[in-house]
Amino acid sequence: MIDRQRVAGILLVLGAGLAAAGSFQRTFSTVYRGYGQDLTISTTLWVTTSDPVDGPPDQPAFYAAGWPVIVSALVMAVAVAVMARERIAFVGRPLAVGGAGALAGIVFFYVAQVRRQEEIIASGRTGNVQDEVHYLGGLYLLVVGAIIGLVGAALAQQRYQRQEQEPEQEDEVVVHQLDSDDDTPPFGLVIPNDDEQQETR
Amino acid sequence: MSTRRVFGAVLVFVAAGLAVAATFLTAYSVQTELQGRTLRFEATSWAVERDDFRGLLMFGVIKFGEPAVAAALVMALSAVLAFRVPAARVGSLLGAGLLVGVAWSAVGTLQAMVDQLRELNAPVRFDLEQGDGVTLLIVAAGIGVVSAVLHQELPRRVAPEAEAAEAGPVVIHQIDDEPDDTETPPYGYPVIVEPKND
Repeated sequence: MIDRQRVAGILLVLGAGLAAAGSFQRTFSTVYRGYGQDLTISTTLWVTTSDPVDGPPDQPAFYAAGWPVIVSALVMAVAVAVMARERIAFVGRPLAVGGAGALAGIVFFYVAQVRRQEEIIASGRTGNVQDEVHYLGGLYLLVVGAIIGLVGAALAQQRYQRQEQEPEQEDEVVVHQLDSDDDTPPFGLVIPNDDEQQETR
Repeated sequence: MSTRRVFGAVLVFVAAGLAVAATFLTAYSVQTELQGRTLRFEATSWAVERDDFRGLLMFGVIKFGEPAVAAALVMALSAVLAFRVPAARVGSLLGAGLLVGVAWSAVGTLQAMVDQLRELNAPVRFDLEQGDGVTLLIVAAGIGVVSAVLHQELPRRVAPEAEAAEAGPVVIHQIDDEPDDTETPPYGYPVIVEPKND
């Protein structure tokens, strides 16, 4: 059987890597119709870009979650490194849960903002009901990375909990088997050089 | 459950409650003076509370309500379950992590809005203020992290007796100081010898 801790470590690193890579990919684009040629504004977690390039200049992304994603991915990677050392592994396991949780929170927040953007565009508040929002690869990478990270963090806890329960079981009932040589025999120990009368009394 | 972990569980509940409350408070507000009139925009994490700009400026809701409530639910559930299932304590860490991620993202989004308003170079000045909702969310995240750490089980130290037991097959038995009637006395029971009647 493959070591559960190793699988957890691989999943945590994979999740962190996918999320970090996803932050540099385009997450969604908004297509604005009615400008002669359609104007497409795409965004990563760092910057927004426009197509055609003579549209609005590149600028920082509105939901700029690049650094939070990178930092939480780093926390997950550090947690894996710490878990590899047996003496300080108890620090790494909670750190993995915290990092994976933070990444999931950031991605959940980001998805909520993109959905809101989609609602605004669909409602026609931009002046044209034909405008569209498209989800792109970066968003899927972020979501998949966050889910894989959570699974890895959950797997990393298994061994920790099993080790924790063992001492509790020891507190319940302890049965000792005494060696027969140590016990006082039912009729007492024979005292050497003693007369028979005293023994029989 | 130790006092520390009970205190941690109570704080987890407090953090979860604060997080939920934060979603219903004003997340941010934008205000400007125009021709002697004060125009103001206010929004919680769920809905726009006031919009004097009537949608002319694309201010909107920062939707951290759902993620924050989800994080609070995870924390509260883990705190309740941990009284019966100790393994559920990990959930409070997960919830705290979620909350930190959400709070960080909310603050980052507000900062991005401030930057965009500055780059707008508008003839009028827009004052963007962080609302009580986001401030409370940050506080909830901080309390959440502290409480989740308190809620966890610290690794047990290996007792010297256990180390000795592991070292060799030596077992020390504690025998009662006052023996009861059921124990065999050290010199045994007297054998009753009945006199022969010859």
